[in-house]
Amino acid sequence: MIFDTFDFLYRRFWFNAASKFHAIHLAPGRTYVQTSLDDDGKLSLGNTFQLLMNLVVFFDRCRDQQWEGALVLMDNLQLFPRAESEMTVRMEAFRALDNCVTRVFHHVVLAAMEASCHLFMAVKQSGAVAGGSSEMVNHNQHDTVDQRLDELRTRARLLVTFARLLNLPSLGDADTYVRISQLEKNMM
Amino acid sequence: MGTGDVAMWLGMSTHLIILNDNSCFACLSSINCAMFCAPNSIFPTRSSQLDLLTGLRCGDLVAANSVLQTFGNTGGGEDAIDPSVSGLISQLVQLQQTQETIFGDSTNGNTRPAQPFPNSLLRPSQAVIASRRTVADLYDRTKTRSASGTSAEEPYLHHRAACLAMLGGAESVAEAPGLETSGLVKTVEDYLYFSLWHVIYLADGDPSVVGGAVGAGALGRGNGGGLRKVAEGVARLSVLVNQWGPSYFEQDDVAAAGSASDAVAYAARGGALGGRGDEHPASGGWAFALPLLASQQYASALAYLAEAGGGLGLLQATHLGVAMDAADLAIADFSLEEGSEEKVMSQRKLLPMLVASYSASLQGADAGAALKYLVLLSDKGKFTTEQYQSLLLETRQFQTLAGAIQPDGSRSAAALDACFSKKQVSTLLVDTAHRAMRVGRPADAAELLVLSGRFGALFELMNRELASYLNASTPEDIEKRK
Repeated sequence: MIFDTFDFLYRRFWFNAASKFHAIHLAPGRTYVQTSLDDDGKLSLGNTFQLLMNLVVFFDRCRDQQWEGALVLMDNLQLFPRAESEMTVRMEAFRALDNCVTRVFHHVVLAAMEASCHLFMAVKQSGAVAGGSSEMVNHNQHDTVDQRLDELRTRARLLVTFARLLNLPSLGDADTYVRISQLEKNMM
Repeated sequence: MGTGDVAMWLGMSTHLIILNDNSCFACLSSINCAMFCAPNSIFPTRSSQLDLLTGLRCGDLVAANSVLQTFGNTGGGEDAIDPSVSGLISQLVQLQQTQETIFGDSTNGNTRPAQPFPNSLLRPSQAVIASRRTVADLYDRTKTRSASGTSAEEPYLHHRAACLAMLGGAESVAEAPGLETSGLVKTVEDYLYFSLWHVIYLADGDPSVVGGAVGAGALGRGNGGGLRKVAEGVARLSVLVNQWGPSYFEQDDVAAAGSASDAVAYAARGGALGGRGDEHPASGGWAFALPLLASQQYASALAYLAEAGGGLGLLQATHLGVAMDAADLAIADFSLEEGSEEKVMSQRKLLPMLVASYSASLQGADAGAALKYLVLLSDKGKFTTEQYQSLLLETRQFQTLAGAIQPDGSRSAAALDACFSKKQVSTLLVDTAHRAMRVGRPADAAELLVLSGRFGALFELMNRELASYLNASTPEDIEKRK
């Protein structure tokens, strides 16, 4: 996807318009929108809308280099597996997503991977600084850093596996899978 | 062609005397006609022929007859009214009855219920036909003398000849060779009136019809031959009007026009009368529109009026067209030949386009008023729907036209709801939203979908747009992330 400055403005416009709509017509006590969707059998559209709004926030956090916050949001959205045991259920959930989400999903995967990688580097660097700052090594702090680094590596590995299982390159930009794999290697 | 059409335009032409003929200011009723044809009229001397011709020009045979009965043949001698003429006038008075003119409708200006007349100018009785024949013979004997001009002994010879020509139906006063220099046909309206008067007489002017007529059934009522002549007469008039064109009729200097006969002769020689360049004509387009209407070129008349008359012309053409349509008068150019399909389609589109254009001229100031005009096109199918959509998208007066969403999710009533049901308004809003998306206005589409209550379609739109620009970044952001 090739974007220009206007696309970013359109993005901002639609997010603001959608937020305004949400504030007015989906405010507590107002049920006519849900009722209308339910009557038409289109409640899933509301779920997709909610997911996309959250993904916009996710990308905003990535843009602002709020890596931790971005990953916390991603965990709450439960789009990616956090353990091997979740792989199947997350794949099924992906296939149930609206087409407009699945078409751009590779960007979400890439951004999540980038956030993990940036956070990995930040944690690693903060651990190195702490370790050299004093003769008295804080083993607990070191263990915490290592544990965190392991968690991030595991997340990255699972994400790569998940992307391969989804046959991610066929979803859009083939370079995305190469990029994801490279980022994982950077975290080894 | 409706039999009433020619009569209608003769009636209208009668009223136009008010505008153009100073010799008869208020020929709207028999009373008025009698007043101005009375001894104290503006004419220095009275003449029965003059009174009679004035009455015929007014279309008020009752008034003319009343004057003749009251004041008699005061001229005497050559000015005397021939008994055959008096007799025919009495018969025509029976046709007019209590109508304002002999062309009036049977409701007499909506003062009584419509009633069928057993006879009319287009369906004359045997007696009237016989009387006409006699008067026509009189005309033949008179016209030779009139060609020589008037004299002191016969100062109203031309008037006499004109009366006989009109009553006998032998030929049109407007084109009678012996009356070219009479000065009786001064204006365009005079020319149209005398021409159409003669056209009506063609209903029974066919010798084969008159010679073999044994009953009213052969006299134009269901007899295509009798009405055929009328149709040909109107068609001929329309050809002449179109040949002369707007530059002939749109004259700003009335004094320079001379008599209508002079002007016709001038135009026939290829003379072109100057116009006013790019400005709107002083008449507002009516100088040419009226002859077109009188010759039943309805579509051309309205189109010309709208084009030449500027904003006012568009207003007039639109309202006139709407009124004509409401009266089931086909807005087309009468022709004896079958028009091309393209021309027919073009004429059918004229009224919708006039209304749409006029509505568009209002929408900037008052979208609600513009909508009321579009509603007049309710039976014009896809074109109408497109006009409603254009009104919404071009004015963006969504609240004025479609209201707003209330806290309970319902849409408040607005201008569209006065014309359509809730469901129809909702469908219109959705269709307009789709059109907005096609022309690259998704924001307007979203607003329209909210108003339509079709939240499913709205979510589909928002989801599509959010997903499309999900990862959009500025070039600086992309550089930063590398």
